[in-house]
Amino acid sequence: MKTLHVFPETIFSVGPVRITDTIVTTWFIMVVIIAVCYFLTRKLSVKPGICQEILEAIFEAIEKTIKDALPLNPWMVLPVLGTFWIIIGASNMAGLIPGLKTPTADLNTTFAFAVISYSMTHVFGIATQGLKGYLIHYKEPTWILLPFHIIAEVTRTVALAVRLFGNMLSGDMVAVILLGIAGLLVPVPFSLLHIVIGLIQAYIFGVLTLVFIAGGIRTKPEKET
Amino acid sequence: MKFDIWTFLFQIINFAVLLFILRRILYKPIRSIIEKRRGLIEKTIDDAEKAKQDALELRKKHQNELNTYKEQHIQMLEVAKEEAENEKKRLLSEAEKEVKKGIEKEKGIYNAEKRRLETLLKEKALETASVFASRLLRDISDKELHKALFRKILAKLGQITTDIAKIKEKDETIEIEIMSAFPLEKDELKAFQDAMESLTAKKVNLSTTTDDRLIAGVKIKIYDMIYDSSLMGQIESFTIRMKETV
Repeated sequence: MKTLHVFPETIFSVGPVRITDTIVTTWFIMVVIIAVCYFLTRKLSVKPGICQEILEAIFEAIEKTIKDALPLNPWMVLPVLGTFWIIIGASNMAGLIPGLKTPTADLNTTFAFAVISYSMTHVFGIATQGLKGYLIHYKEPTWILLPFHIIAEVTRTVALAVRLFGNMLSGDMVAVILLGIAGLLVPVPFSLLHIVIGLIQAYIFGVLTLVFIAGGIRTKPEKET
Repeated sequence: MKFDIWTFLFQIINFAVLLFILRRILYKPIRSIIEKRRGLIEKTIDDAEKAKQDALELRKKHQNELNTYKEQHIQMLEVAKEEAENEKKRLLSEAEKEVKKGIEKEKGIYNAEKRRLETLLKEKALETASVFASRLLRDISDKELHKALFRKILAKLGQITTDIAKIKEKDETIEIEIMSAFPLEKDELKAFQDAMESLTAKKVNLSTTTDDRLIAGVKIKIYDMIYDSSLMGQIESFTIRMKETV
């Protein structure tokens, strides 16, 4: 069945380690990203060219977004968020290139990213308030709510992973199904829509991570006031 | 689709690697360049602020200097005004003096001219008076008057001879010229000659001329002395005396 191609396939195995096409595609995307970044940042100067100006504008926009949400130096969080946006955005677009799988249409990938996002919440929470200070907010306002806090943590992480996975997989599947049914031209508008959805999903993933981090950090200042 | 631990782990590792590499080649350079620019901008702003402060201070300083200059200017103006005022006064007083001098001079000239004219007028008046007197006397004089005058001079001969004696002691003869208004009678001449000879004890040579300008009476010339008893002579001597006295 053609439709089965949207799911990851093992390309080769090294002992117990199975390397799927998802991972290979991710490596390829990483190489491209690194190469582009290398060329973009090779000739930075105080008087920027047009590429550098765009790049700086993007980063200053990200910086401002983080600054509005977090009472922290934005450059602490920016690399994580930026990397999320770049890797997820690039991964979402990868499916448009013929022969490449969309890595984010693999639940393993999205779970991996969601777990990283979840970890970051704790990392920044503990880094700013200390372990004790961070853990205290789990018993707020009473101990009874502790299970609900934990459930919330888990569900929002799962939701993060599944949201991205579902959107990407559906996009891929729709494309494959339409290709099977109507040939060349009909999938084009859906592919365009897929681009938009991919960018939006990348943005949502990053912003939600930011919001979760902010939630983890803000507990203490709110308590103090 | 099933959960694959290897894919999961690889994706975490991939993310970490990408994060690490991007940190190196993307975030750090961009952050540094942005911060560098911000620093530069802040520095520029600070410099501008400083320059502004400097400019303000400079302006203040200049304003003060300007005020000082203005004050000095005013003072200098006042001093100059005072000097000018003094100079003006001095010049005015000098001019006044000059004018006074000029007036004095003009007055002097005027007075001199006045005096000259007055004198001239007097002289003219005297001349006219003398002419008038001589005309009048000429009209009213006659031989009788002439003779009376001659007799008067004969009576005065004593004084005349004493004068002659003092001057001409050595001479033996005396030359006497008698100018007369009317021709003299021989006896009159004789009486005169006798009287002279007896008074001086010297010989007397008489010569006579007639001159009707004398109006009446005679004019006696002895050497360089003239005794004038004629009316004309009287008038002339009177005129001269009048000129001298007025």
